[in-house]
Amino acid sequence: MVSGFTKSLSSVVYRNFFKKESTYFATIVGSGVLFSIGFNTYFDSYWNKKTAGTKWEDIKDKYQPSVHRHFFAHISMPIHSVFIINKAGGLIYNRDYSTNTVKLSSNEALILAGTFHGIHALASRISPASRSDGSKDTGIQTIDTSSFRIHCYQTATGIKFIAVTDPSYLQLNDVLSKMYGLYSDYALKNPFHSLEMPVRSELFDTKLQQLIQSS
Amino acid sequence: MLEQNVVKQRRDKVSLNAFALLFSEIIQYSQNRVLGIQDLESKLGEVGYRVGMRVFELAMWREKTVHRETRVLNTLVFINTVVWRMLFDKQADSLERSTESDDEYMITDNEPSILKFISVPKEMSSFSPGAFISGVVEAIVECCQCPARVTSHVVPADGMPLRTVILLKFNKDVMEREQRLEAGR
Repeated sequence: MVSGFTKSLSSVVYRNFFKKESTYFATIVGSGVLFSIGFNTYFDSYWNKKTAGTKWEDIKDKYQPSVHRHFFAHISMPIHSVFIINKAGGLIYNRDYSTNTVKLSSNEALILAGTFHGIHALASRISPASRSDGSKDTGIQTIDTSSFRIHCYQTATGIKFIAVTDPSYLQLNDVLSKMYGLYSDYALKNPFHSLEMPVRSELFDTKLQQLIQSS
Repeated sequence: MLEQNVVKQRRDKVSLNAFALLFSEIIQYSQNRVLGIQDLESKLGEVGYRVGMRVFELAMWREKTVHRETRVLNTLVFINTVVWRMLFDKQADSLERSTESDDEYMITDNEPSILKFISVPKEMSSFSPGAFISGVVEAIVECCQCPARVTSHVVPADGMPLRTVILLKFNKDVMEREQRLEAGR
């Protein structure tokens, strides 16, 4: 019984794989490829297991300068908070995105916005370099401290988008200009929004949250 | 724009942003001239009604394959496909008959493009900006000799905060006529 089965199996194998030149060749190539894939994966995994903890991927944190990363490893999102200031210096939007920043009361936030607006205006006035086209300086773009950095993006209409981030963030203009896009879509085109007044739009909240999480 | 042929099928689009600004301005304008939410919705419905009449005439002119419907179901399918494609460049997401009564139908749009930028504040949560669309629909069913009371409701679903349901309740005589026609066949 058993020998009959092996006999029939071998004859099936012979008929299907070895008899014709073309299938014989395909069998050789196919089995060669399969064997090499299996062989490679097995020895790769063996090598990885053997050398675990000594490879560059495992130890590069020790050698690369990642001071900020270590310092702020507990902070989930690198953008801590966002402010939007209208052209008169009034705060029209403010939101915190990380859990461990100091919470500002609404009054403090208003004062902060007014002060920033003032020094921004001052900075654009005292610029020593005169521009050829007579236009004003752009004013403050970033403020650095040892633990955070403030980015400011001013639009042509005088609205300022301000983000407080981790100091490792050098450039934020693209995110801030995307924020401007969201503002002009979901705040300005909302019939229940009035100009120069605080933004209260759920869609704007959610879209901004998504933008900040993705950046 | 005015010199172009009206009959010819045109595929050029109107900027959504420009329309959104205009629509938002219409809502703001009406808001200053009404007493309550109900009033505001009916005002938007009036604007939509005038749009709907024109849309219907234009559809009859342009679409070679459709003709003036007088039966309820045909009218609804016409709205669901032809009108929606003309206005929003897609078909409505569903067309259902109400389970409770025979004369009520629902057209659902998961994401009405003209409401894309609108978020209704909490204190007005019963307001449905889709009242404009329901005005359009109301005009069309009236033009098709099937007058109905049309209302719109915001029914949020997962990830679709502005999912809008247009509810049509056909008049009694329309349903009676429907039954007679059905029997006579």
